[in-house]
Amino acid sequence: MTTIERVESSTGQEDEIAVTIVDTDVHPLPVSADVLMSYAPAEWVDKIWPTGNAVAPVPHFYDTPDSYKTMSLRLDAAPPNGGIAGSDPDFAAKQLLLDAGVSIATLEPMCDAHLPQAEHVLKSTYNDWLADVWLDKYNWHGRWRGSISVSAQTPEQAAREVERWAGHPYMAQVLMTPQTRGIPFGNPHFDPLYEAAARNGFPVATHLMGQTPFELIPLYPVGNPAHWHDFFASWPLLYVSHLMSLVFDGAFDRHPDLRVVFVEGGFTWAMPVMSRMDRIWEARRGDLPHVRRRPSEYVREHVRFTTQPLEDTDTVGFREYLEMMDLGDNLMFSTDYPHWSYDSPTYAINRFPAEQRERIMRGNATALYGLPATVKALPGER
Amino acid sequence: MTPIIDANVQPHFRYNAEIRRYLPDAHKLRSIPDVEQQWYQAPGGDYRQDLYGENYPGSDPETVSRHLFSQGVDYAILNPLTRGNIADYLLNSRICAAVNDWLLDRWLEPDSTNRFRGTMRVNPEDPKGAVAEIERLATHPKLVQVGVPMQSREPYGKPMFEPIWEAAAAHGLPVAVHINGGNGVDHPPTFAGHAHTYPGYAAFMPLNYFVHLATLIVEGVFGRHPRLKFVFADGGYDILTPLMWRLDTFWLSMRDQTPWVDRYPSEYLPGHVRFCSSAFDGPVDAGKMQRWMDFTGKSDLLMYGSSYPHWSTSTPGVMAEGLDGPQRDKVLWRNASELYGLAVRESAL
Repeated sequence: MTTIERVESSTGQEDEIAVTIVDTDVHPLPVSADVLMSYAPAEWVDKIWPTGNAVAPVPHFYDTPDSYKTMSLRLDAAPPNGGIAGSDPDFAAKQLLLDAGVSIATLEPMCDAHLPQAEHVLKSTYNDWLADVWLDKYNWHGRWRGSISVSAQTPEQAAREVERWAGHPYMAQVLMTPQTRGIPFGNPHFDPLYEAAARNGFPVATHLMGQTPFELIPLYPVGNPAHWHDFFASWPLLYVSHLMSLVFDGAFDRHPDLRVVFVEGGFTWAMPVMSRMDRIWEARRGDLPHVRRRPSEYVREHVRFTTQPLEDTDTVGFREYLEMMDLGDNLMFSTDYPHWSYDSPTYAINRFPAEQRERIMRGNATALYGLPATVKALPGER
Repeated sequence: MTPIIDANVQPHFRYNAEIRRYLPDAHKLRSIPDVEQQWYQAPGGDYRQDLYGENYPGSDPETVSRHLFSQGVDYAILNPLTRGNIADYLLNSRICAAVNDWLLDRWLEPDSTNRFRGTMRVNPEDPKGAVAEIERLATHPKLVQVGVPMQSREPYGKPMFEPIWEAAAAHGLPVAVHINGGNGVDHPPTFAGHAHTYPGYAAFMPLNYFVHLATLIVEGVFGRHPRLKFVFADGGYDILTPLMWRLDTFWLSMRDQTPWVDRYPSEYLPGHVRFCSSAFDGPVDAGKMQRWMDFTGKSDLLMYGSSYPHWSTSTPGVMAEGLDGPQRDKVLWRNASELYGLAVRESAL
């Protein structure tokens, strides 16, 4: 069995290696519910986790293949020292950073709750846990970056949560569920949060929360499919809905410094959606006096997309499509480690047109998050 | 001159109450929404401003003939709206039947040009009634397809709808899905809730077709009914390529759950799916149009549809901009000619 060498802190003697690959979607998990709960306010423990299942395994409304066994995780990502995939930062570092060659990874914990106060407290608790475990105790190499999880239901509290982490050396972005209970992202409801994020230089990332303890599936406008397959293929339309709202409802005009990252929801749809918005805007400008620029310009300036799951069509045609789409400044590589539909860097890099590769694998994320050009090497890494 | 088939024209009642002439006595005094009584009406009106005049836009067969046929259209497929998914599904079935009787009475039977073809409306929330309506009208030579609303509270791949699609396929009738008029009991129109602007609604609403399409494939409806064809009449074909790629990507992994899906989802498209064009699809730069259409073989799937008399009415010339010769032929007439069995004028060729 592999043993993972526990390194407590930097010796100051490690080699510095160039940052070549930034992974913008990695999912850490608390090693147990007890550990997570130890970061929660005492008066909330019983309220947030009435069944004690704050961490996986959890039942899914839409299950992926063999998920009773796999929990939608890579089986080979289960830590040899026990616990479930994504719960051991040292093993994740070995597998994702050392073996797969990722230089820096952005961590996005998955959690959600129905009641507004519970959502806020749960996310705040996750932030304290993430900052203490992944961004401090296990971050001697400085290669983990964190997300400030915030409650979509309580934007004022979300704004204060963002302020609480402002200046943290490793918190890189804000993370909000896209399952916003019927409120599209462009609604002024979110203004306090956007203002706080923009003021502190944090992009706002959003990630499908399909596999959380507190399942909050969006209601599809023509009803929900029965299977994960058609459900998941349609799910990018949730991001399309939010993106159209951000543009047409003027959020980017109200918040010129706001940056939004759509994680794991596809990105090839951006080409038709940008053109569609431009055409409607041309035809109906009288209805959109507050939208001052061409919609596609807002997308290019304000929006980023992560790449996993890359679509499985022929590589030549896919590259040609990406060249035509010309969004090489807006795409950021991601693996979704340790989830089952993981994209490896070696698989992904070949899918991108040569001229866009460097930006997608490293440059765009480095610029967005203000990441360094070099990082400390792990033991055995060259 | 290239022949042209316009696969999406909305005929309207001269006035909203006209439908009551075609309702049975028991339903004549029921309250029903007007076609234009939509949650998301276009500011200034849903229809072309220049068509509001003596007649309601799209309500006078002579005027519509003049506008379409004198400008090169050979055939027009009439696809009337009904009044939304109103809660009383039996009343809604009577409304569909009334619309069908009106379409025959006002448009199809008096049409001496023989250039109009029609869509019979059925109500999917009343599957037995929908099948009965198909059986009542299927043999009419001028009714060439079945029409259902885009709006639905369950996607069309779900089993309760299958008898309707089976009846349509048995008669060789494609099923056209189009955003309905009126005002029904519907979910919010976007995945994120209600749109806050009309453009936000108009840009997104047509894209909902993909959920119907994905479920028709994954539930095995196309697999079980080889003759079944769906026409998505509001456009949205521009997002087909990315979303079908995503559906294809996970096909093999998901076969444990849906073993009846025995090929890549996109392989069902040529035999089962067509789109009407819209003013909002396609690249802004027409120079990219040919390549754009090639992805997912879209030029075999697309039929020109004007959406007349909608404010976004598009002309064949604008629609075909940037296409090469064979693509133009397919989109402007060949695909529709094959789907509906319409022989185009000899002189046109």
